[in-house]
Amino acid sequence: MTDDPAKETSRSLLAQLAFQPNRPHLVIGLLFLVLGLLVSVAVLRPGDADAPWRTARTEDLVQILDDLGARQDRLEAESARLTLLQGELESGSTAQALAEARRRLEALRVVSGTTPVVGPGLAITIDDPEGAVDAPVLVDAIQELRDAGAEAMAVGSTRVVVDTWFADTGNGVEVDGVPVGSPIRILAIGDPETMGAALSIPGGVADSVRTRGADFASSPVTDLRISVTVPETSN
Amino acid sequence: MIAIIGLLVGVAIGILWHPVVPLWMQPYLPIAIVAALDAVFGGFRALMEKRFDDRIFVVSFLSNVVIAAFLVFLGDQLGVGAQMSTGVVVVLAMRIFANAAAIRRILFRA
Repeated sequence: MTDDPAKETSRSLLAQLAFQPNRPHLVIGLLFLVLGLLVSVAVLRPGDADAPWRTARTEDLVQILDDLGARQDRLEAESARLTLLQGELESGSTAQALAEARRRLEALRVVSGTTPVVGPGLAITIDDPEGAVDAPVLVDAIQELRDAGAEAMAVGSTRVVVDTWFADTGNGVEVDGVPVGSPIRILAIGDPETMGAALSIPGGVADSVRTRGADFASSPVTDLRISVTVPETSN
Repeated sequence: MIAIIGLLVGVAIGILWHPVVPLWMQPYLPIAIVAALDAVFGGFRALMEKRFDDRIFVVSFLSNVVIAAFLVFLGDQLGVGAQMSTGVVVVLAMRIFANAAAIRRILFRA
């Protein structure tokens, strides 16, 4: 079997790999030592806490830095406002504290839906004669509006509050047990431009309503009034 | 044999000592590794083909690393450092694959 080239090769390979402490082998060993050192250093390097930033591109880092700067500005502004308020409340009269408490009460009432709200907003009409728009679409719409800064919302004749629910039933979508009716009307108080943009992004709520064969229309209203409220509960 | 011992000792030193790579060297580290790997695979192939030469291996190892680092340095100076790194890595990786294929053909005759 000595003429088998593979055997021959592996035998000579073993001979080559055998321990031969001469100068060239030591040099090669040294080179491999350097290689091992490099590899282990390079592999161990990403153990640092800031590893994600190490590999990020410059443009991304600039973007992240900008975001952080903007966020810091916002937080600083809020901090300044609250510090000022704290000073006023500590040094000021009871009337001032009362006014601030009233203001907060009013804001909380708007959020909890126990008071009528008037303000600029968006009136949305979804004309859906075939009943193709189901509860998830409406939930998406409400969620999108909330993200876009809607302060108060109503769907049909139901005020949307923190525990409002949507369900598909035999006769269309129900909101808190009340049928939404047709066409579906959604009122949202907040910045009309922001909310309008949020709804009409490609693949967004408006698109998904239209792909279901329903008609989606929204118009900004300067004095939108949401008069329907939910009863105040004490818990 | 000495080569394997050297590799293991190098890895052990790297893990235990944990050296901090200077910032200016960091872009060259991966390139240097790939270049050295190319030389190692080339040397292994030469070993398989029974034309291995210590001198050639040492010179190719060092020159590979130096040339790869120089190319990346040049790329950095020209403002195309990232692309140059990619190019160098791609070329070296292709050579590694070619050498690996040759080794595989000799070892397994497949």
